[in-house]
Amino acid sequence: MEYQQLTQALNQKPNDLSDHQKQDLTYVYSHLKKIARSQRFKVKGTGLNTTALVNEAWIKSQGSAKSFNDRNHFFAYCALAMRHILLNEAKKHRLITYVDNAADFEQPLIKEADALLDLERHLEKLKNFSPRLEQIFTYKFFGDMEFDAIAEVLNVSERTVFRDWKKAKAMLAAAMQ
Amino acid sequence: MKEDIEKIWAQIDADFEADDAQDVTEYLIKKGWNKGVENGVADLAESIVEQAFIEQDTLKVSPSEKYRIIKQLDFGGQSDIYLAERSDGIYHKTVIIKFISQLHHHAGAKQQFLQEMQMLADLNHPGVVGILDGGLTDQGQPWLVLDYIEGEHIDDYCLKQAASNQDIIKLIIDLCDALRFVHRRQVLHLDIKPSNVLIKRINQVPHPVLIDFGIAKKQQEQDDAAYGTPGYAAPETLKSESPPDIRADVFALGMLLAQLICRNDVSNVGLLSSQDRQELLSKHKASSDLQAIISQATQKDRNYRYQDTEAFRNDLNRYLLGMPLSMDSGLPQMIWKGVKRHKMLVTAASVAMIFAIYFAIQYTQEIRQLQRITLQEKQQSDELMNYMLDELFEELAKIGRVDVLKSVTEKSVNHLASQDPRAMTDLDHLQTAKAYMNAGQVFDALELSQQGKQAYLKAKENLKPLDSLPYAQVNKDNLLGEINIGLSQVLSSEGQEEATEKILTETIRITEGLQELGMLKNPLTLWEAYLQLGWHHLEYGKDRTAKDNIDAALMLSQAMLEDKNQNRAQWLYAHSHGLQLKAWYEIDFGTLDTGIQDLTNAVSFAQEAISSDPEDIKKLNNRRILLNQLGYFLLEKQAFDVALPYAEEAVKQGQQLQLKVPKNLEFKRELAVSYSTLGEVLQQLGNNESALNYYQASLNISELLATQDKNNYSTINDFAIDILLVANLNHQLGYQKEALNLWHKAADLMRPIQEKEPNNKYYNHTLFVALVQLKKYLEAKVLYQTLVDNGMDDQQIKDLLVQHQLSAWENNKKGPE
Repeated sequence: MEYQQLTQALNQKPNDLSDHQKQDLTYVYSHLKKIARSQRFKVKGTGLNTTALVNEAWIKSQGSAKSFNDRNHFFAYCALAMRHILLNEAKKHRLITYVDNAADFEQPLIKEADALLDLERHLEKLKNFSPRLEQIFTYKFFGDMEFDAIAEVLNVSERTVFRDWKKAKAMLAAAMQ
Repeated sequence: MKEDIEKIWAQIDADFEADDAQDVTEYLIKKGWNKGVENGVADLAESIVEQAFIEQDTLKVSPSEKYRIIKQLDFGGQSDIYLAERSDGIYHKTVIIKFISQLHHHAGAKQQFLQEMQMLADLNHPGVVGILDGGLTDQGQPWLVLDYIEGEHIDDYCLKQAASNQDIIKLIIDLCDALRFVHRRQVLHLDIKPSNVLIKRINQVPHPVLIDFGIAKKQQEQDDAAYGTPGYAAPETLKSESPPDIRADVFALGMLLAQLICRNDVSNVGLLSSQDRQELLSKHKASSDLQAIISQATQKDRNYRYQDTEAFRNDLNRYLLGMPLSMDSGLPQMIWKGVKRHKMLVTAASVAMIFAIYFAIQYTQEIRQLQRITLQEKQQSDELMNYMLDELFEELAKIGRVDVLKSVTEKSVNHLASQDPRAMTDLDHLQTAKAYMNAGQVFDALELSQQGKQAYLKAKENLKPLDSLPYAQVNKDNLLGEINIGLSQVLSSEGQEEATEKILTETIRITEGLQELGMLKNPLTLWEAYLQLGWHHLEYGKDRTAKDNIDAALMLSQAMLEDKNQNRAQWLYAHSHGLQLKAWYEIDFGTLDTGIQDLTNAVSFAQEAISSDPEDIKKLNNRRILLNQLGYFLLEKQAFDVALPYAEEAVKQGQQLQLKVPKNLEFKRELAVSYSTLGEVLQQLGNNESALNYYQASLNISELLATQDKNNYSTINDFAIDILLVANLNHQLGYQKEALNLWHKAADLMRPIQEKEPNNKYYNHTLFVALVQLKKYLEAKVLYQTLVDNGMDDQQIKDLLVQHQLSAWENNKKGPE
């Protein structure tokens, strides 16, 4: 997977992805799911660790994945996948409350769904303001990538990534006040 | 708002550019923003992360007890669609939950959306997906809960089942029924395409179900948005000049049919040119009839489409049954053409002769078979092309299917044009001329009069090289006569008075010459030339020459009747036709009594023609037309007692004919005329109650015709005239309320038509009568002058003015206003 393709994938809506890209994403999805299932028993009661998920995915993907010849690019891809998966999940839960008047709004799922959807709206705006800020935030927030890994993927200095991460967080916090 | 946040963001950007070591949390507190952002998604949305990566059935947590989402079927674009399970505690049901992306922010839009939801929820039909629930979210996003239809998209189904064209047509017929149901409730679908039709199988029988009423609109709602999917969306919906109507759904359904017939060879046949589409359809064995149906459904101009799904459905059904289609039967082009040409003879036999056999539908199948065989062989032989355009033309003309020859004719003409005249023998020239003439006849019959004219002229051109060859003259002149007859008809319909007269005179000279030498092959050519010229002169008011030619035609047919070698039935029929024209001459320029005598004779010739061929529908039709006309002439003469039996007989025979050919609209129209004539006779005889019954019977037919042919002004005019007759009689009988209602109805029908064709004297006449009866004198007076200018101020108008004490108008009519 080339850097160019990856950024392209990140900047596009799921429907605009090429078949090849979709295939890769599906591959990542299914792996993340498999890992999640086994992780659940390991981390019972303490919640899931996304870093652990992605690391595990990378190890398992070696030997079978075609496009990912670089660990960092794989992580970036996973971050994107994670964002899509969670967004869809959040939408699903939020939407069902519309269809069922008796839905329980105090459910953590609903509260989290609201928060995620709110974040997504602001991320879309941030992308218009600065695509790089949005990318860095996605890699870090959804993929829990190391700053040096992000720097390599985006071909910028680590310091820039660190600064941009701070900027993005501050901006999103400001927007969500 | 947006600008505000971007300003803030720009400030944050600058702050961290200046100092990238500062802590984000401290920075936010300093700014007075007390809410931070987590470092990772697992902190923000732990439960969702868990939920997302764990199998659904192992997690029982759901925010809803009523619905459980099973999976997402589609997302992005227009809408998000989920497959879900609905449980009411008692039973489970699989449903579709759909969220439509388009937001409805304004209260008005919300209200409208909810109304639409209600409207769709009311559509309870097996061919329409059921709506279980619907509403708007707080943000104004519409959502729907729909029945889940377990089945494939219609195109996938047809491919997998290797459905035949017949199977496909049956599915489309089912869809027509479903759409008719929807349309009757004033709802439009506006996005019919393969992916919006699912096939539900019940006991292995496929039932198409329309889904996705996402953009369904109530009829007549103004909306600027463009609807539908390119290729399936009718052109008018993309322009959004006027609100789409049911004809937009007809268009999409026609395209869907084409797409299915083409077995998804291309992803969207609607994006092809109509020519490419036709070719592809032919490749998939769509017969010319089926192509004609598709073409009619997918006309760019909606006025030329089927006007509703019922008409579309009826033709598909006729096609399956092997019967002629509506475009052939109802009011065929050829008839209209005849009617246009022979305005004076609207009810006359000349028209009847062209079209009467149209409805012998039992032949259609055979001809279709014949057509198939000949089409295949055509490619092998050019001679066959000539055969088709000649003898087959006759056969097809009898049952009104000349249209199947159109493409053959075009190819034939192209082929002829590619021949090198220098390489041609004398015989070749003769053959080519004949081929061009045949082509001209086909074009002419198909209303392609310009192409017809060109073909006739080419035919004449090919006879030129034979001028210098004495031995070829007889053949040449025989053919020239026939060509000229065809050409004169085109010229006449173009209104070319002199050219028509010249060519007919020339034809008569040539064919008379041949006749004298005993070398005229078909005396009908000469007879036609006489009759045409007689009619032509009559039309331009040249009474003396008109009479000469009509007499010549009659003398010829008389002579032919005495010749035992001739086809007697044909000449009996021709002779009655000639007498009929003479009667029309008499009523305009001669005496009514002679006209009556001519018609009486015409009836007996028509009668004799029938006895030789009692089942010939065109002859039966001819006879009752003559009887009706005779009744009408006697009415004019005020010989009401004498008129009565004829008018009654015309009605009786018309009713019998109706039983034989129930679907022929032209015959129905004629019956309506007979009813009116009889009604008038009875009214004059003082039998008002019976008269009213017949007027009402006529009115019923006119109404039927007017509803079947909504864009035909003259049909509506007929209807309005019948309404006025009934209204006036009601008035006379003292039923004032009924009369008033009917006058209103007539005026309402005629006003829009009169606006569109303000110069049509007949429409002005009808509207004028209605308006005066309604005492709308101001509005009526505007029309009065045009009636006077066109000589339409007949007895009826004069009586009306007297009755309404408006005789002053009459005295002022010539003076300045």
